[in-house]
Amino acid sequence: MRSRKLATAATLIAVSGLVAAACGDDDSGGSATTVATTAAATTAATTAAATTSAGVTTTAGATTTAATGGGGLVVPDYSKLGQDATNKKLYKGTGGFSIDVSKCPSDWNAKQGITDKEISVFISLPKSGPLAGFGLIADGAINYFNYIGTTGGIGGRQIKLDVKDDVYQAAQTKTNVNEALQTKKYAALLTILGTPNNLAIWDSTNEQCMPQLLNGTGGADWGDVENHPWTTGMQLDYWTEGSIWVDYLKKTYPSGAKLAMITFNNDFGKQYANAVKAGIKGTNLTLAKEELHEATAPNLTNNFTNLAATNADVLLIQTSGAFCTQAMAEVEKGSWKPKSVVMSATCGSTGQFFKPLVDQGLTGKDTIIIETIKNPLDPVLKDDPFVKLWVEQMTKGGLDPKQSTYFTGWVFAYYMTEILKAAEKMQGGLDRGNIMIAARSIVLPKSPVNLLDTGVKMEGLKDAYLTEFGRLAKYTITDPKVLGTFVPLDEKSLINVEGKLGTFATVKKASVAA
Amino acid sequence: MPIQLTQNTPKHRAYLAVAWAIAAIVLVSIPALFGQMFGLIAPVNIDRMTETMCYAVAILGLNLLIGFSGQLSIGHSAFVGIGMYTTAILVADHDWPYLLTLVVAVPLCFLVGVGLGIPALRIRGLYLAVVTLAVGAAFPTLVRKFESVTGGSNGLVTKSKWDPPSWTPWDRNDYGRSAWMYFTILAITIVMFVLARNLIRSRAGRAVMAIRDNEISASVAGVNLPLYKTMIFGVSAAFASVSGVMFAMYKQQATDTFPAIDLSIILVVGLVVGGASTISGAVPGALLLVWVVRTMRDAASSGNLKVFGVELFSVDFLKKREGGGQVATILLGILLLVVVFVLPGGTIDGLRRLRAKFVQVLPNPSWLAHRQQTAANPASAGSPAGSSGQPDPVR
Amino acid sequence: MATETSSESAGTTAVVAKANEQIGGAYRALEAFSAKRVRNLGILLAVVVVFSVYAITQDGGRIYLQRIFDSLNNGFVYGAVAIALVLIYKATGVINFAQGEMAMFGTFLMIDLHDYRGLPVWLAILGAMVISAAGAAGIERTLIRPFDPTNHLSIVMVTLSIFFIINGLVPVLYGIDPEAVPTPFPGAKDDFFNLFGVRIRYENLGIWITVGLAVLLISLLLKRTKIGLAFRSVSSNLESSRLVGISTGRTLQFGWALAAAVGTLAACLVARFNQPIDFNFMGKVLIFSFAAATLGGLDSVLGAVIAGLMVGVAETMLGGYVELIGSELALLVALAIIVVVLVVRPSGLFGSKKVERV
Repeated sequence: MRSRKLATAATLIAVSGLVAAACGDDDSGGSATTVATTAAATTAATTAAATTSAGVTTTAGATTTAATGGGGLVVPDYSKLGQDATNKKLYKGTGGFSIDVSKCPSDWNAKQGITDKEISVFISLPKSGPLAGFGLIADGAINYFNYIGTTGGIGGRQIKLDVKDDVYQAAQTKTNVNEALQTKKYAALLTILGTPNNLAIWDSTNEQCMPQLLNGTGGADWGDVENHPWTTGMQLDYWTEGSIWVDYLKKTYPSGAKLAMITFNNDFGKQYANAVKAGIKGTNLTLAKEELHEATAPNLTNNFTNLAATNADVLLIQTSGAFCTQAMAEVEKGSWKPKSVVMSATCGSTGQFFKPLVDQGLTGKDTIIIETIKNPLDPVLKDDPFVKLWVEQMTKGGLDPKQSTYFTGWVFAYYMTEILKAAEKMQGGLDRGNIMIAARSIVLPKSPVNLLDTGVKMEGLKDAYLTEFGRLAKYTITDPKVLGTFVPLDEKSLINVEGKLGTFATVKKASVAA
Repeated sequence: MPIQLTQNTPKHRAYLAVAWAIAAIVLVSIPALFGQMFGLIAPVNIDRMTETMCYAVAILGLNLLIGFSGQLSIGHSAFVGIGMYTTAILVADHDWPYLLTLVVAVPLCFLVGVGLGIPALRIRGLYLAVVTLAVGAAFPTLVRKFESVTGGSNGLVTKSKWDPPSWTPWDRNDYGRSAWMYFTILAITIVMFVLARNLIRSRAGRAVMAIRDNEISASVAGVNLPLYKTMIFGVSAAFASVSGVMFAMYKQQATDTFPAIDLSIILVVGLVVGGASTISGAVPGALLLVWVVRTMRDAASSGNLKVFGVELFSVDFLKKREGGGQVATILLGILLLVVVFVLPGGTIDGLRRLRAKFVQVLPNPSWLAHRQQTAANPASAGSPAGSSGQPDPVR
Repeated sequence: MATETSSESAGTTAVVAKANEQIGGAYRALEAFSAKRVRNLGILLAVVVVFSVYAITQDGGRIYLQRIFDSLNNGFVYGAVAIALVLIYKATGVINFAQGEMAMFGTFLMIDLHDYRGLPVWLAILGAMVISAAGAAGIERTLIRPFDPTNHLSIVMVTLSIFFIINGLVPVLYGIDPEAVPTPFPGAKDDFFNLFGVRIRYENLGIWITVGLAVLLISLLLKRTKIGLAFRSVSSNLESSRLVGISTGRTLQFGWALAAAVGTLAACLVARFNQPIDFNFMGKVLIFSFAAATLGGLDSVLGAVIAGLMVGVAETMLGGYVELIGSELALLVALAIIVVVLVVRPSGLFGSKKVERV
């Protein structure tokens, strides 16, 4: 009886204490304002001709068939960029971009994670669970960094990548990244996977002035240089990809067509779907049916029966993983034959998604996809020097050169290395402020990871997207028992909108207006 | 030679006081401890302890259902999710303070739990497990369906920060925020454990245990089956929702992938490994889930095992194999197997046996006699047995 | 609590008693309702007919037939796996969480035997079945038998740990890339025939027939052989079986081996529908199969298959015809229906009610 009274008293005290605490110390807000956004920002945003969803067109000057790289990209003089001579807290880049690190936390260290021997970088991605396949990106990246180490590194420094598993759970990503931030060991974060995962952390990384580079998702959000200057993406964003499809469909079906969609019910599936829906507004393309499927769906048979009932002209496959294969198989085996099948770039790996079709006696032929990155398993690229290098390093590192996901890791690692190299050249030398400037100012007239070595560019507040091109290609086979390749639709099929997308503000505005 | 203490004697009370005092000191000084020892970075490990407490309350709720009332449920994650999303929505969209959301989340979950308990009256055992599985599977899908409210697959981020208020001794930096969050959540955890203990020791608790042991006997003895069975579902759900609110506070975010069937299963694992027979089993269970599982996963993904900064071994083979990261799952399975074989009562059972080597607590005959006296003389204790005409069977 | 005032407790007791009575009345009503089997079947039939008429007027007869076909496919899939779950439950009274993973392992073994060792598909399947059975027998002997068969919680935990171990082992051994699955039936792109405009694939028919045969064989096994008799005896009353001289350990081991073999067979067939498969493919099917096993009654093999078909039908039909639900929620609605059915018949449609002794 006494112990109960005591317990009740303790409870009351605790509860009243909690109630006292409950009243406001949770100030909302906390958005990063560590960058002095210049007046140039607003003008830059309006001048950036962002003709996205409604009008992504193949401009004559931008298409290339010869490998001259992105229509005249000029590399800035990195040695003139970087830390300001008088104000050591100010870093300047191209396109009006600058960072004022006096707005960063007081214990912010520009040289964190950087020594004479090593640059420490951190990645969090799924290494176990159903999406563990993406985890190989980290292994591929480590392989590339090891190779760079053998060729002298970044001024003699080895790039070291620490990996944590987040099972693709945004909450786990947040925990991993928080811990990484608190250890104060890392110069930058690299290729965090998943849109919800990156959204979960980008407020804290920006607050803490931690470069969050080359996000492993095609979300259009990563172009938000105004509000989240420390976060960048890499891929052709899903929104633009969807818009390119719509553009292609408008040209191919000038008198209109019925569309049917199979969409993964998650962050990127929905982005594609929204892009298409926005793009076809006011055109004579109509959406006959959208089927959403869950990650836990064992097969897509029911979905396809529903889609087939519409007898649509075009099928859009917006998913990833084994579902890509299943979708193509359903189309090929069923009686409904849409005139065009367009698939998302997340399903682009022939080795991963088309080979199981061959094993089933199917082909997946005539599927249309937008390619950006080279496919290392493509026999056409057998003699490409970068692909050859990849195969050689894979074998050296004991990894499987038939697993194209390792090449994806190479892509991210390549860009990271180039950014670090550029940062080293900047005023003040290699430090985190310069890394961020480099990430926002990098220009590569020829990028060996891209098709046709197409170049890429970032330009501060004017151009916040790295990869802004894609090539419409159709999967073509010669022998149904062997993997085919993606053949470009025509000479005009390389669509390069480098510098046209602007930032997230412009992409978003276009999406709302469309 | 173990020391023998008889229950309720001054010696025993002194022992209890000392034990609780030590526990209190340890709990309160964790933030400071983790800053100095082993070269650990304080906020990281404080946060892990905070997360441990969130899991502990979730497992506690599950224990009330599975351990004490004997009803199997794999749908616990749904209630955690309801708590999480209630808090996230109220804080992110309506600017409520975090703690106030408890007022909404807990009754809501209690009602849903009671609602789930009603079909559970008819359905038993494994059939009930499948029903709860359905509930657990339903939640993430529903979250995605109503994405305008919940943010769908992108999740819902609450931007509120845990800045320590001015009357606390910490600064507004990482350490201060972690410490403040730790203590807030510690307070809630203590309240929940105390409530659970009171529940177990009350008449209602005994009724529930009677139902677990033999439903028919309990009903014959006069225990109101439907009332208690649904009530315990509601209470267990309420505990889960509190843990969900705590998770929302800790992560400052609600996602659709977290409150899924995987969570239910891992909570059951935590419960069994911790020990299902007492409520304190939730603590080692939660410690296991947060510390051991995390360490195993990190080891598997990076191919080497570091404990407190000391590298134990490095396995190159795993780095090369494509499925290498999955070793963590294998290790979890082996761990569970070992626990079931060696310590069927869970870790808490093992700890108790260890303690029994040093201190044994014996029941007190004189205390028992006093109780029997009171039972034989109802008038002197003022029980309702005589006055309302209905015998009170659960004594 | 012991010192409540008399009026307070009288009030609450009265309210509680009233609620008790009402719920009791509801019980009795439900019991009476579920007892009239023929009438319930009639109601079910009427619902099906009304729905079918609605469906055909909505989207046409061909789509209706196509959907029926799809649901049969999926249904046989769920039912096949459910058989394995039911067999273990019959024998031991526990749900084997590892059933799916053991079957998944068997499937990868089959693919290994076929693709890399060149065995023809049927032989590969049989080989995988034999290996699974042996493995399961071993698991029973080493991991399950040490426990008291009535200690359900511990046994379920052991099966859960096996789940984790196999789920982690397979990707380490076989990698994480999705694999195509061979089929023993003619399975090329053009192996189908047309029935009223619906494509019926030979391989699907083959699976239906195989599952049907399996049910038949298992029933014969259980009813006509000595070991089957021992199995039924042990599942009905463990103690008495022991007294009569039946080796319960051996019999349970047989039960595990049989369930594993059936599970592997089911998974090999199922995998073909859901290819390309990765190590998580059984996990996706398992929730449907649990639902089917429960709906049919956890100790009825035939019930499992019939319930599997019902789950498949509910999922496809509701997802296809009810716009509001759509494909994503179809599973949930199917589960909701199961909950409703269980409230009316708590032991499932074909399950046997347990008589409890005080």
